[in-house]
Amino acid sequence: MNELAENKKIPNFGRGLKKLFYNQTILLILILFVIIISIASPNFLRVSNIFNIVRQITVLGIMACGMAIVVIGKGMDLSAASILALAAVVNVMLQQFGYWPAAIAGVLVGVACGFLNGFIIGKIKANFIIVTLGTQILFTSLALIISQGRNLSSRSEKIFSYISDESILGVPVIAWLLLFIMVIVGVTLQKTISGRRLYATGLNDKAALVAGINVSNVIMSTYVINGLLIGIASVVLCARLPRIRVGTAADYLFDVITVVVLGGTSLSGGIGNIYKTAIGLLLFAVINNAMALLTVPFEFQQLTRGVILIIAVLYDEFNRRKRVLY
Amino acid sequence: MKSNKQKTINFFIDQKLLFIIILLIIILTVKDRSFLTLKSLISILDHQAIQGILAAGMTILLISGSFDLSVGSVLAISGIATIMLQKYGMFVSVAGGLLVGIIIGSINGLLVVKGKINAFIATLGTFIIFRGLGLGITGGPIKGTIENFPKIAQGSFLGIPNSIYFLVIVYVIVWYILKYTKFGRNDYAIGSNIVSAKIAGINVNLNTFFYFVACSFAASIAGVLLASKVNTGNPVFGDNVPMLVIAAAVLGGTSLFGGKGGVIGTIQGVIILGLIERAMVIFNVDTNYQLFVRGTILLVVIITDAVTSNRQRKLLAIG
Repeated sequence: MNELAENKKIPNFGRGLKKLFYNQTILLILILFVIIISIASPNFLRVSNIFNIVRQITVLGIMACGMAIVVIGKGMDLSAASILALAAVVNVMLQQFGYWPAAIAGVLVGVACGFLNGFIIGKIKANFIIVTLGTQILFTSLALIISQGRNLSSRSEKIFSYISDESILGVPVIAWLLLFIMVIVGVTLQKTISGRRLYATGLNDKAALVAGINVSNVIMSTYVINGLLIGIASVVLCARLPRIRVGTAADYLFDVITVVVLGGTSLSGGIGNIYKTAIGLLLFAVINNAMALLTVPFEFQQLTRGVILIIAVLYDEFNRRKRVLY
Repeated sequence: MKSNKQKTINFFIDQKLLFIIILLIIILTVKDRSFLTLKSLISILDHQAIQGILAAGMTILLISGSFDLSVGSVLAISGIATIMLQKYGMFVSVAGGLLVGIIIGSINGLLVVKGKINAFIATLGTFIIFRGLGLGITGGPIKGTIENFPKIAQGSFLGIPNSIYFLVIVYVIVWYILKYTKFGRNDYAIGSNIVSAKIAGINVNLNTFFYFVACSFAASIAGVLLASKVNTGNPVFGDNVPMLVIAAAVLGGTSLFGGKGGVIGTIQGVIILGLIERAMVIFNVDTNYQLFVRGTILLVVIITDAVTSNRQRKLLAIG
């Protein structure tokens, strides 16, 4: 007995290593990729290329935070890209009334769309996939109706170039914004009561209900917060891209889901955090950037992304039990 | 007396879809006098045949409580396979197209049954993969070369287009399977309560696997038909297909919560959607608004399904 107790106290190096592998797999893969790619393409590790990557992933990163919240609550939002398109279109259309009203309207549109999703899923308890599939069509068509199918041009104002081009302390403003949002969402998830309630709901909604958590409100609020973050992302999108087309926003959907899954957020709910989502985001961005640097044809880039998604999901499923143990 | 009244009410509730169809036909006839002819009704069915065949396969899967988002990719890629294999003769090309559906269905089934992945995320993944694969292989639309191939769907027999025969054959087969075979009855058992189905000795995994295969197989039949209809294989076919197909099935009374429904409702749902599409053409609705109408219909149908299912679940809990 005594020996056993003593054994427990001694830090077991092998076990620690295993734990590291299970918890930080994605980080190790990221480091591996960075090493391989920087050998294959010397341009990769240049500061300009890295900031380029950061600028490209900001919209995706903000959306991934929202999607991670929804997925932790055992949901999924297939309408995310459509909300982005709708909010961006509203933003651009209202820019004649000044920058702030337009930006605020865009964010509010995001919140309203999120509320519609959340109400139908949380309160009416309809299947989240089908609901968001339906609202996806709805929001896309609204965006098309409002923009009349045209390409919209953002006005060139100082604040746009400030958001997309300027730097603070040598780091682009856009990166600070992403970092700020990630820290806030991450801390909210890990350190507040609402965050813990969300994890409880995602892990086992019946147990959460019995424990006195208002499950339908929690679920609904995840979609509303998701809508809010997508609204913010739309403001960044309008600042970054001078021309907004409804079709281009649609590509964000699969990317966001892939990032969230790569970040180890379990699709069966209740597991995942923003720190890992950020690493997943970096990994995804690095792979994309590498494919662009190595001039892989577009179709095979798409194929690769699909394969990455499936592998990430399979990995998540096979390791779920182990991760809970360690 | 009372029971008679009850019977009448029940009849109306059971046949509400039929009344919606009749109502839509009346509205359309009032708007456009030339609408109510056999020819235009046949053209609607002909137009909806591909969607209808997809919906029949999807109904099997929905009854068992899961669903398949990859049918759009199956539709596109089986058409591409059919067109690409045409240098080996028509029989091989059609068989190849159907085989592609079976293979993708098996992949979906394995991912869900063996990989234990959520059905929607697995099929979302395969949707992306095969969409990318289709684009990678073809790089764009490809034309068919066999002369007789377009006749499969475009030809007609006794004045009725061939695609309607295919539609009817698929529906009769699926109807028979669901109603009179063990495979079909197991479908309802698994969808109603997966745990009791397991306890009752049903091999849930094996059955679910074959439901996925059946769904993809139906999608590949639709894909071959579509390829024959336009004599083209196109990787971007089938973008909005999953949502239209699910809307048709759920409109027809198949619940997204599983265990309920059938193909007779589904075909009515398909016809209703076809009539609405035609109505939007007759009433000159703008394309973007058409999309809006479709999305709204889907949402209304889903919400109705959820509300009725909630009520039933509550009733069961109390009773």
